[in-house]
Amino acid sequence: MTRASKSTGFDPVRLIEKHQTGVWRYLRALGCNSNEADDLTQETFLAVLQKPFDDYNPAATAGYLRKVAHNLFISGRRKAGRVVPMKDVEQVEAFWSRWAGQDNGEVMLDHLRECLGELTQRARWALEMRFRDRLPRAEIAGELKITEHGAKNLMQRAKKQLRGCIERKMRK
Amino acid sequence: MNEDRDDPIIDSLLEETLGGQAPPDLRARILQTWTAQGGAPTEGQAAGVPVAPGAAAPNPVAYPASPPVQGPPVQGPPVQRSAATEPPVQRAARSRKGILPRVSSRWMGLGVAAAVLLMTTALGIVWTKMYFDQRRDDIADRGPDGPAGVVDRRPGSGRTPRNPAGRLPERPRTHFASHVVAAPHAEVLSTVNRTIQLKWDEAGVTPAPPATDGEWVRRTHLRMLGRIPSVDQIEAFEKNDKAAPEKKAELLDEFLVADEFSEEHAQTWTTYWTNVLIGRTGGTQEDSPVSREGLQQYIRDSLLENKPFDLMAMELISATGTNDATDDDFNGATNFVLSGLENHGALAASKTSRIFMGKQLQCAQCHDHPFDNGVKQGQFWQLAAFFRQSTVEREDRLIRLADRDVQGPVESPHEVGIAYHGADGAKAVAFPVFVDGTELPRSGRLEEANRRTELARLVVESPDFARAIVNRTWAHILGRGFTWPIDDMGPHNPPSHPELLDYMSEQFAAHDYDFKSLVKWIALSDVYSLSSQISDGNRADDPEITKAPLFSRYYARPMQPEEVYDSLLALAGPQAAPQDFAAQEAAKLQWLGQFAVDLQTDDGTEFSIFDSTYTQKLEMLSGELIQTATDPENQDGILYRVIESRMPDEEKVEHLFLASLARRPTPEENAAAMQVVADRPDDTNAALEDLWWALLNSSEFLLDH
Repeated sequence: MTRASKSTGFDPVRLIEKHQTGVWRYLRALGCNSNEADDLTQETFLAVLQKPFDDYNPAATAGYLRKVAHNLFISGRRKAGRVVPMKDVEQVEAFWSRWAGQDNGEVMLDHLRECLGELTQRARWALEMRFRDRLPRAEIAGELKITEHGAKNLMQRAKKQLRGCIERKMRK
Repeated sequence: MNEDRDDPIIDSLLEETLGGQAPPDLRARILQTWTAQGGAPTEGQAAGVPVAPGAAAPNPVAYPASPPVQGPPVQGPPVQRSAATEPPVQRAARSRKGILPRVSSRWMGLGVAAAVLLMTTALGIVWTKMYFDQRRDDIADRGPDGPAGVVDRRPGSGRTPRNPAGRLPERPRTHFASHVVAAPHAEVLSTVNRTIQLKWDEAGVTPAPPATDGEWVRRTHLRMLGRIPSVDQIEAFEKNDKAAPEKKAELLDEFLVADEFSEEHAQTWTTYWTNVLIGRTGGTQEDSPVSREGLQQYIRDSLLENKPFDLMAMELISATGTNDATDDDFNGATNFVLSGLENHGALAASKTSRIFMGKQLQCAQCHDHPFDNGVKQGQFWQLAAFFRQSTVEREDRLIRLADRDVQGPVESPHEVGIAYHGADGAKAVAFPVFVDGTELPRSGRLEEANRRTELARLVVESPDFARAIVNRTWAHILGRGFTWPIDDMGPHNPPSHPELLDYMSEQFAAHDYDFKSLVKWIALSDVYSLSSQISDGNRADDPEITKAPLFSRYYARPMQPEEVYDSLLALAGPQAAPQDFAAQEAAKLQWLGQFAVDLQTDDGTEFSIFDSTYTQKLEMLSGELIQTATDPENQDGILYRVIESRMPDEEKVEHLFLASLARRPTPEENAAAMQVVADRPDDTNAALEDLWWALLNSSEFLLDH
């Protein structure tokens, strides 16, 4: 039964305001594109708004929202007939709860920006061409005058280095 | 998982940071939909929420433009609850009454404030302690001459040497060649060529003719990039009409200096040095404390930033830290010493001596050196005593290499040595004394002497260091060193070209131990450009018999297993390798693991069963990699591309020869190949497939010549 909220400490607007970024980023980390993440973020909050609760612990609330989003993500994928690699999903969940659960991933993004500065110039160029300019791998390889295979390896190594760097900074 | 999203967490963060895909503000959209479904925020809650563009408000709840109107609650279908979606604190209004006490928000606020204050105080204490600890360390590091640390003298290198363990080893300010002026590269090259020529004249040998362009390009790709060249690369070099020395220097610069090949070049030499430092099997056993990947990461980063080689050696010998790349204290260099700390550091001492000083001191582990009269048994254990303070510590999943204070036995706690049995069975104790007689304090206290740091300094200051590296690099590129074995230099095994070895060692040091310069001097030398042909004029130059090479030809030898693997992979196409980099390396190690055997000896000897053994033959005849490389259906492979091309058959045959052997077929070979094709007029493709398989299984393909 849907009900209008009453002043029980459950504030839908504040809830969405505070947690929408974290849920959206979490869904992107699970593998959603932007549109999917928009839709599933909305569905997550709509599901949660059906059952008002006292939002007294931001970390617990964030965890609850992630759980709802996670289940919606899995159901959606299964309905669409897409394979869901559960091990990868669990790894993302473990990583997110550990490092980004408290602040919607803001600190992790700050660290990423710092860590980008530690890459070699070529690695940074490759990632900028891939993520900023959205060039296909063949074009990136052409720009860097390497093979496609080399471009893929370069970007994979760079991303691995970024992850290690972020985890080191998060541990401090 | 989509191959482009191999790390969705990092990918999504990069898309946000670099791609501008920032999280949208979905408040209006969510609230409008929720309202449409019957939910309604209160006036206070709705204020300030932006209106979604183009959206109509379906119920009387208004947004900032007009006063809010609260409608009656809308009855809808009952809510389905499931355990999976149960909120952490679920308090249905109907069931709250009298069950749980309400906590006053004022007390809650006070509690939060108290918790924050405590946390801040604790953090402050921790930070203050860290600050003063670091200050104490900084003061301890400073010697009388100024602050510790290494100045990156290379202009525009853009990267500071990274020392994740917190302290940079201090490079010696002088070395054995401090008085030597670094000569221009052309002068070094000229001296190398002239000295070799003199030896030919003395011995009365006529050097082999120059290698063809194809031969030179093939061997240079193998040495510098670890694989054979493509047909395009061979033809581009052949068509370059500049004079041979100039176009060779240009190609070498591309490999050594230009960005295009830097990763591949660094990876090739990383493989080489990893095999030297920990063997092909190092770090592959499940219970090994060594992280092969960690060491490779350290070496690759060092090579990419062109770190001076003496600094790299010092870091490897004196490294502390953990071998986990995700740990703050990660230091990949630790894996060298980690691979040899058993048996009181005997293996570490042996490897340090062999690799960085060119001396097989391990021969003196149980008795005086059998051949080098200057090396006594005690000297081996005196070197091992430098590792006495080193310890391997396990912290959960982390493995840490550390140096700690050590005490001696009860009767002499301030004398820390290594006990050993002499050849006569008598027990003796060795204290740290370097091969040149330099003694360290006998106490095991780090503040008196960090033994490994001192060892690192003594090693690189010694002229043996530069000679060992020059000899080893010369052997790797030219197939033979100035001595054989390359790591057993001494009066019992004099070098074939002592003046040249000394000169190159001095210049290597004078050029700041620049490894790329050393490689360039060797690869641009006249001797490197000779063919491998044996003729009457140079038949006397047979190092297998005479032991003293004259370098009158390029000494042909089998390709290394890594080179065969990477060459076959290049011919099979990019899809032949696993898509993930880590999986690629694992697949390569697995393939290579067939051929390397750890003999579990005190000096870490490995045995390679790659050369013309049944295992190798079976792998080349029918292994998975060769099958992929010779599969005519493999659209990424050379064979498919040749078959599908519009080239006439003769050109297809030529292309396959170039791709595998870096040369065109001789008239006889061409005639034979064309006969094979002609014999199967209805299935030319099958004939080409057979030819391709035969080429890849030929001795010539597996030969570095």
